[in-house]
Amino acid sequence: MAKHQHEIRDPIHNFVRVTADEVAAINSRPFQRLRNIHQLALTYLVYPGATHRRFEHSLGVMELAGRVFDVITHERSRHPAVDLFPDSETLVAWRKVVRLAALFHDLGHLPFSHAAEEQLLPDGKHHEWLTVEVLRSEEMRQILKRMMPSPDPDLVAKIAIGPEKWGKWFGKATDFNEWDLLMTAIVTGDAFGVDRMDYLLRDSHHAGVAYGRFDHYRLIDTLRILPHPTLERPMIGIEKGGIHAAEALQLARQFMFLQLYYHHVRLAYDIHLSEFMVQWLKTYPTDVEGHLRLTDNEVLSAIAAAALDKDRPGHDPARRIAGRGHFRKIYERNALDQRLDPHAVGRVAAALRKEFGDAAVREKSIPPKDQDIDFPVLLDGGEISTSRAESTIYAEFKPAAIGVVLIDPDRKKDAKKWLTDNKKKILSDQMELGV
Amino acid sequence: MNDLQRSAIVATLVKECRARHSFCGETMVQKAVFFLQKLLHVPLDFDFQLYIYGPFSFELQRHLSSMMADDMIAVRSLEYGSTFEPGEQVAYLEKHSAPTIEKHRDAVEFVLDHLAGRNVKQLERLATALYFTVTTDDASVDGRSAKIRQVKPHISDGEARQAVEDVDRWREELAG
Repeated sequence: MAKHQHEIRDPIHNFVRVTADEVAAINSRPFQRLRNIHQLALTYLVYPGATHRRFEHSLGVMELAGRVFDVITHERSRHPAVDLFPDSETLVAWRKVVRLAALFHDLGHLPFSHAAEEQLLPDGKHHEWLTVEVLRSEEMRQILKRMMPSPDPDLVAKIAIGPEKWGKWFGKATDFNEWDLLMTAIVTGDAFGVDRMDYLLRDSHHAGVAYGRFDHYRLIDTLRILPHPTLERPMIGIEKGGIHAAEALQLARQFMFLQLYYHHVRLAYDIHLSEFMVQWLKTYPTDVEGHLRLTDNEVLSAIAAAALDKDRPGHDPARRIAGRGHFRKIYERNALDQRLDPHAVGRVAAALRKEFGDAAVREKSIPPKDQDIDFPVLLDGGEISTSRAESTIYAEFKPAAIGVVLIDPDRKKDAKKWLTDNKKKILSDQMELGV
Repeated sequence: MNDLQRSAIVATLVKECRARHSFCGETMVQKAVFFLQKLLHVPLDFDFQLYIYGPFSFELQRHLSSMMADDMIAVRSLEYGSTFEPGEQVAYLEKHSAPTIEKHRDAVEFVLDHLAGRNVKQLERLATALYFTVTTDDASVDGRSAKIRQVKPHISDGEARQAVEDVDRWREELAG
């Protein structure tokens, strides 16, 4: 007799439990491709353990999506002011949609994840656009069609990518009703999205960086769908007893961005990798077949070849990646200079380019990832408050932006001295640089 | 407008709103900026999409986060919710973008005269009414009210009509 429930061992969640339909989805060619896409691009050149792939992350996101769905839709968890829940049969179908959306949310990732998507994809598109294209392919349609119940590929896609990107590329943001917005928030939400929860836990585990850990068991058990007291709309919120776990998630994200995701050497490798991929590929194959054929394996092989042959496209960035000749940090955003000039990073980069040439200088400025997170909190007496009112961590939270200027290692010594001598003038001489 | 000029207008909006002792949460900023762009034609160029909660710009949401990171605005928790306040760097914006602020100050005042002090639901309705006023071919009050109710079925016909009539009156005020 065929098994209806399968278990996959996982270092973060112990077991990921999957149904027979989900096994078929996992065995699909587009999902298996994720075995060959590193979760954190070349971060393993800085943190050697960070070699994990999108494959296991996506399994983890599905596992957490199922847990969150079960908690927030359970009859005992329902708040009397929220009258949105469908009947039990429809809920079963929704559970499948949400878990599949979680499983498939990363199908559109280019090789090495985010490293070169902005440079390689046309018209400002991101990997979510390819995720939908893959889900709409005949291969995936057939897989979904054979499931019982059979989910609509567009509904799975919509929940996987959320209203902003769906509205921009495929339909309208008003295609999401209140229930749809809650379902997509399980996967993509800023406050309690399971994509975020899994990547923090998994990335910290593999990188050996403890900052990403938080009590996700407690957090998930206390999630509830609640009416926001001032926005007057249903949102995923939390019972007061879970607020410290929520705070830990928020801090974990902040620390992980500062320590790991935006480590200056990782940013340098991201720049070299992106430059290599652009020079090697020129344009990315945006048809589904072309996309599925390209993984990190092909890119790594091309880097190895280009690093040894100066006539190959991308030789310079390839040799920097292969031989650890990455650009070095010479300046980074700091509070003192920001007070003098909010565009200090751009001005320093422009001045260094003028002095040492464009080829020797790179700048990476990354706007803050965290929004002002405001969610409802259910108090012990039944009243509903907000995260900002109940938590000093949320009340005082300030998003962090990153800015770093990097220099060719051969020029670092000269550039460092020059910058020490000239920084004051650069930050006071704004008009001359035309920033 | 460049990013600095956009920040200067948004910070002016926040500062003037708080000077009126009005609550200035994210919904207020989102809807007020939508009015600045679509009714007053201030070229902020944030990309808005219509949601069931009215026009919303993720680009503006990210811009607000950047402004917080740069201390141009700050968030303060009040008993009834959190509000934006001018940040420490607002003086920098006022110094470096003075002509932009002066050019659009009347537009900011107009928007605040009509929106400040309204609650979230009112702001959502009014911004949705403006959205259909500037995007739909059917200019009738009935036609636009019907469209609002398609997107926001929980509001009454009377509320939808009132929002459309308010927007029409403000447009006449500007034209006159």
